[in-house]
Amino acid sequence: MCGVFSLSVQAQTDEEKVGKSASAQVLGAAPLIQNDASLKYVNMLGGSLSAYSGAVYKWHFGVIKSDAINAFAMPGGYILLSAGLLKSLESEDELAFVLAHEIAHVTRRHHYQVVQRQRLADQAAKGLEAVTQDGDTAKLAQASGQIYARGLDKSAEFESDRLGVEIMTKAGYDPVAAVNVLEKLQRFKGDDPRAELLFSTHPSPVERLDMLLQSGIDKLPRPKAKPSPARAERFQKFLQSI
Amino acid sequence: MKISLIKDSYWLILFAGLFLGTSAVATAQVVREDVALFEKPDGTPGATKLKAGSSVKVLKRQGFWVEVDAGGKNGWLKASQLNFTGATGGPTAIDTGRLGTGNIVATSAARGLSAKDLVSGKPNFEEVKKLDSLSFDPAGIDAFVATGGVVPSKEKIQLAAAKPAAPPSAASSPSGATPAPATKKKDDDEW
Repeated sequence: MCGVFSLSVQAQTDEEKVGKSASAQVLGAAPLIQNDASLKYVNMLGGSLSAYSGAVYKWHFGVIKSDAINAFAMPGGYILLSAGLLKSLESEDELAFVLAHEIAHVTRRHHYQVVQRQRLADQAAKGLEAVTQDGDTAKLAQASGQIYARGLDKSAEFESDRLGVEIMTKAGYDPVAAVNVLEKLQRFKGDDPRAELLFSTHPSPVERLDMLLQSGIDKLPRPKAKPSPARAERFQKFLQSI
Repeated sequence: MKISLIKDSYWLILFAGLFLGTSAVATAQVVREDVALFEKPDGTPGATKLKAGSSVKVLKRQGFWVEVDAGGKNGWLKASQLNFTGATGGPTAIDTGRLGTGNIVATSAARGLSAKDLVSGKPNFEEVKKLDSLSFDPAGIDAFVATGGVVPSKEKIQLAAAKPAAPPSAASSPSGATPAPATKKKDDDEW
């Protein structure tokens, strides 16, 4: 029992270390916005969703200064959203889908598994003196940058959409908002520099929508009440401050 | 990557405009099953029947419901009764500066993050320290949820894992299980 516990703690600690290095690489390209109220808002919303993820992490949610339409989920519970993506959204429910999608990437260890596979490949190539396992955080950061530039398997994106919708719906948000977000993404031109990386690293929004429809998203219960004015107000305030 | 971009652009052209409101009309296929158009977006059955594979014009979306024009007969379908990846071309709003009702405004001045930015950039561990300091107060979550009028669902929420579908040919009939017909649900409204 004790052995299982310590193994679990050790794995989580390594995830956090990888997550910090990966975050450093993304933040090297675009720093955090400096607005405490906005960052607090996105952390409260992310925190409320994470309670339905079925996993325990020290979650950290940040917003980066970038026109890009993108979001990044790092191992260990680090999540970064671009200001450009947030400005394209129209409700807290839509933001809940974006956050829940990224939370699902973390809990399913999508990026961490890619890092682990790279480590194994490194070990095979260099023997026991592989350097990426420990210590070399800069190298780990650069390797992480390559993962985010290349993207994950389509199946990982579809899974995060599906689990993300489950998380947001359990938390009390409207699953229709997921369709709204994919609709918005579909409206960006393929050569729009803001969305170029998103389109090269993700399945097309129409594929993602079709997968959600096939999964039964339109059979999910919707909230009984319309979003409260207070919810809409705090989201608008958030939008205006980023 | 180039092939992937071309493919994405192809789907963009095919799909864009599907949900853009009455001013933007695209064409989709009804491929999942033989269906009867609903009179209202609440499951009220109508008399117009459509065969699997029929083409309809999508007029607008309301929640999970889609209003369609089926050869001059208007009615409603559940979104899952349409195969959007099999949509054929129609007028789209993709080339306009202001697209639909969202906050998306085309601009040439903005730039995104490129793959090169992520790969060749210098890691910023000072910013990570700031990110590390950001989190939420678990004690404040209940108040945040209550203030927003967010009511956690008490129902079992689970989606089935689906497999990507190949785009259908117009001549072929659908195969496999068909989803259950849409039924009237109290909460299917227009917001």
